[in-house]
Amino acid sequence: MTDVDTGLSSTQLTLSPEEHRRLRRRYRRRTTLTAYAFLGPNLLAFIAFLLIPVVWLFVSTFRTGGVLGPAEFVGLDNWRDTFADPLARTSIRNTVVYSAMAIPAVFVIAMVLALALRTISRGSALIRVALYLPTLQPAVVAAFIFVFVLHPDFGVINYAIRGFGGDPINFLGDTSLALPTIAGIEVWRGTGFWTMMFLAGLTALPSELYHAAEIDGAGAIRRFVRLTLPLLRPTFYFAVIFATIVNLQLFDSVFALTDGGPVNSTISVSLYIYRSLFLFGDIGFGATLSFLLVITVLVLTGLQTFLLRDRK
Amino acid sequence: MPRTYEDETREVESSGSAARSGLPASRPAIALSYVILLVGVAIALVPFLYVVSTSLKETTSLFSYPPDWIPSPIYWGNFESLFADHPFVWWTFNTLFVAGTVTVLKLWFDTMAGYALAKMEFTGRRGVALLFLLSVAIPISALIIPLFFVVRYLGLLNTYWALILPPLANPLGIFMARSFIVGIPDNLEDSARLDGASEFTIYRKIVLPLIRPGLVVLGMFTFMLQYTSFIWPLIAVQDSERQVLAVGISGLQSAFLQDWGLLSAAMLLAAIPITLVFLLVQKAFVVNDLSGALKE
Amino acid sequence: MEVEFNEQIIADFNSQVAPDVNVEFSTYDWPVHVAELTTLFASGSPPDVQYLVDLIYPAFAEQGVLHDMTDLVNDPEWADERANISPFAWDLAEQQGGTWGVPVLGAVYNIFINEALLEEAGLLDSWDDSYESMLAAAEALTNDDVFGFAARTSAADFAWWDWYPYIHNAGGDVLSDDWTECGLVGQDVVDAMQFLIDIHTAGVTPAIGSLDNQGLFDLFAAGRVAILHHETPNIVSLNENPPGFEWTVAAAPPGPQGHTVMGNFGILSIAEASNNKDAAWEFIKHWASAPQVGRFAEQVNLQVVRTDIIGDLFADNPAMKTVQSELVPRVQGLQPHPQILEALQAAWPVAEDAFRGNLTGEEAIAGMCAAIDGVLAG
Repeated sequence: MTDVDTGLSSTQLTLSPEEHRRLRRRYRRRTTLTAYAFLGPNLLAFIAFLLIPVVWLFVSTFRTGGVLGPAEFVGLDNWRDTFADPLARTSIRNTVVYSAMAIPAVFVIAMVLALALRTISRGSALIRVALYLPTLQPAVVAAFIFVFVLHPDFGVINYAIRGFGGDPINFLGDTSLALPTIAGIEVWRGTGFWTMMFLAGLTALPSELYHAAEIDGAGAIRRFVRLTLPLLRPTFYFAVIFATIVNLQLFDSVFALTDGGPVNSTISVSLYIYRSLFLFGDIGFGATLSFLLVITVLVLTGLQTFLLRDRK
Repeated sequence: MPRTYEDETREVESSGSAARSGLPASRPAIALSYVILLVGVAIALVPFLYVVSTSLKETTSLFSYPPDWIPSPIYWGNFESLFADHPFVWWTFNTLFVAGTVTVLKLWFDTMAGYALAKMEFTGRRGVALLFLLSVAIPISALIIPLFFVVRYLGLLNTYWALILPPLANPLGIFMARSFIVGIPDNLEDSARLDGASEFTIYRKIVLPLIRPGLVVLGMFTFMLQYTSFIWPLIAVQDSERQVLAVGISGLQSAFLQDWGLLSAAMLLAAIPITLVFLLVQKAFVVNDLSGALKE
Repeated sequence: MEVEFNEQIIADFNSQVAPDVNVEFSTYDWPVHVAELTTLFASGSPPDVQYLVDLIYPAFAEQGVLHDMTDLVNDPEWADERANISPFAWDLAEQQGGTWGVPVLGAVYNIFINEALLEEAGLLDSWDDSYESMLAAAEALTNDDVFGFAARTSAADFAWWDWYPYIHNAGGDVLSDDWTECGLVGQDVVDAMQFLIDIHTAGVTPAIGSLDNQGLFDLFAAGRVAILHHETPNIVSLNENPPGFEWTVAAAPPGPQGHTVMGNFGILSIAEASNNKDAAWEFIKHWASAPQVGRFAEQVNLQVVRTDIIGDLFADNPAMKTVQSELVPRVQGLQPHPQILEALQAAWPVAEDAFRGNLTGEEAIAGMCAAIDGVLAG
């Protein structure tokens, strides 16, 4: 970027400081225009279908009603109510605990699969499709499938446990197992996606490090940790932030499978928002809870940025 | 003859595949990889066997004791009913059409926006990025009501536009595209700029080819989000014949009576077109890497 | 399937009543029913006629999106028809100073019993004498293959329907008589809750929460549950795929202050935003008329609230005939308060916790009341 002036006016050999600044400003203006032209289509959709709804939602945190009946401004009441609500706290805790289980698990599994895929060549297309199939299941479908998989008599896991003479596991009925089970289902759904993501990252590594990214005999793990992982830092950084944002919005599987139960052990922030907005017509509360989630996301991604920063 | 950026790009592509083939993995490594992958594939696919089994049974109950895993005789009535009594073909077409359109548009828009955010110094860059990041953190369930108002105001309810336009606003894809583009060495673009290439030419001729594996991931991600999206289509579209698969299938479970066989048949058939799409996409998943550029 | 049946009703409407009115029928996806309705009403152009259940219509009525049908239903020309619908059903529809719809159908939450198992144990006539005898029967019937008793326990399955009769039989309800505070008061209510906790912790039920609605029913159909709380629409399934044993329907045993059955009813309402209220009213009258509502009820195994057709319905469906003649008269429904669903959702986790043996009856009732009062205060 520093040689830019030469590129713009190659006939001039020397530039006065004023001309230099003027050209720099003009260049900056042109880049800004170009950049917004590139951003244009996205910004347009963003403003209409995301920014306006978000602003509406933010305004709603200061009022009640506004959907079926008239709206009324209530100042900070919603914010006070939301902070005082014990179920709001439970839902935030559940959501964070769920993310802390699901994200590391899906990352480790996906990374191992990506490394394995990187090593083989024959059959890899079919394997990738098979791995990706769970990712493509809508939540209603996944929920239906897992009613089978987790069934105390018919479920494949409990079937095996019974075969060995054990007691079946009450996956979704036990208050301490339900959230890990939901996390497991989301890992099942998410593995395909993250495998492709990491595979793309591995593929982009410099070729002399290929062997470091492949599963090999002794020392492979050390090479992976010392060489591959640091090189994948940009991929990881993006993946962690991205996964945090997506997972903190946990909704589909709890909605379809547990509806937050048993004993509120799987109620997520998004589910509680949905209930407040649609079942209870409490727009102000739901809107405020949404922004509480945004704050949670910002705190966590900020923390991750700090932890994943380049230490040199 | 002076080297052009096109030469360089071509070199990058060819050096990638050369390096790939030049470094075969050891036999034990390959064997271990296959074992790991087969376990992964089994875990991914075994749950679907329940669906296959149920779809081929004539029953209203989900489980019968003792379990009959393999239906006998095989019953095809669920599949027949799906086509005879429900607009299943429409649902499939709508889903593929909407998800395909959104994916193509988003791949284009998100890579352009990602390129601007990754490679251009412009006024308001941090502001735009922060705005995107803040909005992406809002849960979708909270946005349905205001989004519904916007779409109604634009008169788009119950149209394909209602399904296609709002997803274009999701900034997740921009960040993903940006993360792929950021990794491209600046000197590639700079040399193109010296040759007088416009930003759009650089975007099209250098950036897009180099991030092809990333584009496949982004495309799959966008397609998946669309394919599985449920609440918004449910709310935005009322006509059954304009509805998408996820909503249509879910609607097969009615208030009073459950037809599990029909439901399973629908799930199974819904998985077929998507599998075909991904088999086709695999061809685009060729190995690219930036090592050639780094060696310069 | 309801689609076909509704299309029949619409076809009859067009051919017999109003050929020019175009009726479009759409079903709701049950779990997201309320969300869909909310957005439909918010759109300003909802369907003219809605079928709404008593659990959710009061909130919509309170927000002013339903048409007050008081004048319509009191039209002298319709007086005979009006008189054919049970007063208890009208009570459910007449709230907040208005009439929000015409009651048409209901679902009763009955008990299914495996007669073969009960007979074999010599308990067929005595199991439902009292709560104690039901618990004793459940314990006697439980073995390696059979669970003596099962009921829904999760909010996702609307488990409170199975809980309600025991509370009603104890003279309690979710809300007090004037609907201003929690109505779960008195020792009888505490005892009823304690009984439900006892039966869920006695080892006679499947592991709490391990099976959903459908899973429990399939277990019964397989002959592995002796006494099952469930709902009447599943009678269709037992009639179509008869299990290998005799079964019948029953009510929960009587309690100290009553012998009630839980039921949940639906009304046909007109949207306040409708531009075709006259046509909508014609359609409702048609839908609610004896031949139409009777046929629909028979097809999906729901109950009717018209007293004039009870005798003619379910001629070849003995279970439904029993439900209609013996259970429906005992029905004590819910209190159609605008926040009833919110109160139940808030209180239910306490019951779930109690059924897992973590609370006594007294603690559970106190916890549920705190949650209910919290909703009413908020």
